[in-house]
Amino acid sequence: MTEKYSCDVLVVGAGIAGAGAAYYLSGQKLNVIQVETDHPASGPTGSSSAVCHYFYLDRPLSLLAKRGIEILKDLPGAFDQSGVLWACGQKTEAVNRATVERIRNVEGSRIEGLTGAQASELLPHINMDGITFAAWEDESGHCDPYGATNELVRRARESGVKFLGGRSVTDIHVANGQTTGVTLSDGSTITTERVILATGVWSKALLSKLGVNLPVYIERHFMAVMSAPGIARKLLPHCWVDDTYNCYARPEGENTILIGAWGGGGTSVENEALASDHHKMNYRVDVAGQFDRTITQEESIWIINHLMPRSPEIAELGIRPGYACQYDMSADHLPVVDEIPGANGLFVIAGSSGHGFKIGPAMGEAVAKWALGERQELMETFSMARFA
Amino acid sequence: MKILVPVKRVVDANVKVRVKADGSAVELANVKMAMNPFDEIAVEEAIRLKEAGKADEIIVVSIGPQQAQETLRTALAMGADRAILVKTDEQTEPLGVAKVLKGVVDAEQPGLVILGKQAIDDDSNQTGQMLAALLGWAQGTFASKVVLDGDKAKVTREVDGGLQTVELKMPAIITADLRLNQPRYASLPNIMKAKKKPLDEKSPADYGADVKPRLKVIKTEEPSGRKAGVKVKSVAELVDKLKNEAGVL
Repeated sequence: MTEKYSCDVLVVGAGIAGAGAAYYLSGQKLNVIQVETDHPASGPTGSSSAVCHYFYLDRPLSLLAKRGIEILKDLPGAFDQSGVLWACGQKTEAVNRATVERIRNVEGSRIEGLTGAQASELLPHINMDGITFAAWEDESGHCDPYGATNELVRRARESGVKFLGGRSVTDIHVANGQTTGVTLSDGSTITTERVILATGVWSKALLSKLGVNLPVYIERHFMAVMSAPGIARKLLPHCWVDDTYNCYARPEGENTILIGAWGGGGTSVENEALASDHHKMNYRVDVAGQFDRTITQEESIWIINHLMPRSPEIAELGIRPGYACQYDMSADHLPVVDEIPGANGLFVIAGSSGHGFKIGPAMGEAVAKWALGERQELMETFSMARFA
Repeated sequence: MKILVPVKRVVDANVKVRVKADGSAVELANVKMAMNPFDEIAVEEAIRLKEAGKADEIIVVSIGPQQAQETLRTALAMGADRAILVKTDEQTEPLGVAKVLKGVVDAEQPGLVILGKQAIDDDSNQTGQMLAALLGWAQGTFASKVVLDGDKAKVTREVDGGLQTVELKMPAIITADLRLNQPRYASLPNIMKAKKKPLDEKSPADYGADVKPRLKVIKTEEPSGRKAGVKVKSVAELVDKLKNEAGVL
């Protein structure tokens, strides 16, 4: 049955950014609709490692993480204040130390700098050889990405946002430079002058219909999952991020440890050799949603080998099936967030490049404010024009 | 005592299965494969019996294509001692597999054969029973608990009415049900060690077994898709639909 809807603001997508936007808008006494093709957090959000920290070399990301974590912490049961320890060696010590100073003194977020010995006390099952400095955020941690996203969407609906699930936007309508509405996959239409596309990896295909070439691409990244029955928190009480081996790990409940690896971007990377492997392992996905979610034993082992030098105890645990997800990438590994030129009222949140979860609620909020006429200066960092 | 554990390479349980366009079979090209989950439980049970000092050696065997080697390596990484690949590119059926296994049993003389109650690809649930018949051995199927005592095996079976405990004289066949145990995950060092464990390659002919298919697949079909639901506006409309569309009133 096709319907004709209209609203003040339409939020497309119920990942963490869309959920953040809808949640903010629900408090603004507006007529708001949220459209989601599946269910909240069904895309990359749900398979995020959801490690939440302020430590970013790029100040805009730090600021968004600060606000994002504030919103996430307000959701009962979703946030685990496990603490995040971000370690580095001599090569990146100076810049990481300066970053900690900036985040603490200028941005006012809770973070401190530790020596390798102090880091050892926090994570005694990690070998800190060569670690000269570590950023420690005792009140940061990790999140349940499904729980958090669904709670934001639930609150938004409770405050009057109309949620249309199981439908996607197939076309966006623009007339004389002004966004006028969208058509949904069931043939229904929504008339609106403001659309927030929080569709991440699906944005590029949607915008290409308007002749817009969004400067983003998709990569398949994956996580190893270790079986640590009853000892996950003993072996790894805090989230661990390691510049020297491009590796991160976090406890998941009492019985599981997640391990991931990255190839640089947003942070400093010491080990160029390991990082260069990433382009081969984290290959590109041509069509959003069409990728293998399961991973091979070889892929698990490749990830685990990043942690082996630091923690054989964790790296030698039983290997559970890992999983892959889509990373919405941009060339400089910073989000692409903008009002689409030539389409007033059409906003896009994409290219989160692996930072999407922790900054998502804040990015959604910031773009929702922008759609209502209040643009924050830090949005300039994410403009499409920077690639022109 | 030796324990023999037959394992089967099947489509990974997490993969969405698709039927080939011509309806001849399930599409296996570029599909992720894994050990049949019930066989994993059988391997785990054998390892636990060995760890409890009830067995000396665990031999895993798979009848299938060259790639079934990966499945055997998984079992070796879990803790099996050595492996036999009986290589065939034929589509194997329970009777053919049971005949090969009889040959392996004759050669290896295990005190116990533990295998999954069924494979998740064809759901035949026949191999263990056929092997018991060919060998003239006792069988305890759908096992949820196994206790060895001398030359006796007490097997608790999950039957429709509840639990039934049978006592088998060994050597015997045990088929593993879901709740027998929770299989362990192989660790990286054990995966590396497994690469060096012995893996023999044989053929069905080495055991004098004929594995030619006896069954002919006529058609393979996917379940029909479900239609999306509709919202009705009133009770009257609902009643009308139930009467005239669904035909249930």
